[in-house]
Amino acid sequence: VTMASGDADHLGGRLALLAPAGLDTSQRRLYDELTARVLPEAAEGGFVARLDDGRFIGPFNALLRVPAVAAGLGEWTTQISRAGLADEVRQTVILTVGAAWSAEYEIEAHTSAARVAGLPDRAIDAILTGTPPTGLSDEANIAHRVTACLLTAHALADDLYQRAVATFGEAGLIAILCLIGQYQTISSILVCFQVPAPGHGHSPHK
Amino acid sequence: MQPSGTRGAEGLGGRLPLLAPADLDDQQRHAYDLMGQLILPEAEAGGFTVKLGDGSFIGPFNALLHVPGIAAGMGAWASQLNAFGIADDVRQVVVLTVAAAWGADYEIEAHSSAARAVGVPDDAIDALIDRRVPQGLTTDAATAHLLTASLLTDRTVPENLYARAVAAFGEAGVVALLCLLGQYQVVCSILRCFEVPALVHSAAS
Repeated sequence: VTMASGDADHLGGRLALLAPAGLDTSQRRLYDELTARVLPEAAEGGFVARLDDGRFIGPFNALLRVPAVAAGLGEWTTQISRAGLADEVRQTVILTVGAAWSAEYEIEAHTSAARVAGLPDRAIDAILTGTPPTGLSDEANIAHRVTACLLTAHALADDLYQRAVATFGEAGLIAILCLIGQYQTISSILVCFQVPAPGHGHSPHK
Repeated sequence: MQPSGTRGAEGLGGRLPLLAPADLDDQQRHAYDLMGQLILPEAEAGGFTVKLGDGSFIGPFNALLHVPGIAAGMGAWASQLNAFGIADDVRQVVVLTVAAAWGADYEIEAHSSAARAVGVPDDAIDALIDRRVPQGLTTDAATAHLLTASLLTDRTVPENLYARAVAAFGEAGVVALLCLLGQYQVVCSILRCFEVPALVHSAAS
């Protein structure tokens, strides 16, 4: 997915979008790493992470301010994506977090990615409006409940904990907690800098 | 700070058993060594316990041994955040604000001690734990607290607070604070999910 750069300056929110030509050496290294890691995910998920003029949008423009910290975050992110969580589970968790934060960029990007991963539209709509989703796999449904409970109550009741461990194992559950935290971090960046969605997708909750 | 014996160690993993060093596979052993290098100096400086006399990690670290690859990646991120140069009192105030919002007992206990060690006044620590407005913080620490609390409570940053945060820390400094906030949200979610207790409370029971 590509997007023309005209009139795109507002996509940084409270931040200016950084042009590739203005980056220093460590920022350029991160830029290349983001290009290698994020663009394939965006292409597969059908969302925009970089403009045609080479400027990153979404959380990535903000992360270019802290290239070393962002590189560390990237190492963690890569390990989380190798944890073997099913695509549907992953997208369900991400959307649940994005919706809790009303993080527009995240909601738009991962509504598209969730569709690609096979989540039914009615489940996506329910997650985005904070109502119990129907039509999810058992795994995705449990992951949704774990995420929602931790975000709202900061605790898991015994029965939900037992179901989660039975489904994902202790290691899988910890991987889900890390995925939640990864996207809480991304969402907090989007909210703090008021980063908008590029508006290319078809988010029903724009 | 090490407990005098194994009494009280039962239960320190919460819903998880504590992994003894002898139980670890090669990848876990690698994560164990990395965590030791990263965490033990911080725990010593902060005056809190992360490892028992038998070599078992407690707190969030025992859980992280179940996902050694992810733990190593998280360690890389944490190391870069440490190297970024957030002031010690700012760091501890952010961590305590997150820990209090989550009601994460282990984290509250550990970082009350660490906050005291870097000069955060006791009254301010008590206020942070009780989720009241703290007095006696440096201007930067007070700003970082407000930013953290606003994001955790309202998931928004009003214009005046945003301007104050960028003036204090710069754009890069604000992004680093958000990463610190996120890192400790992960830690606290692990502690709450697995009901990991604080060392003192558990040992006293």
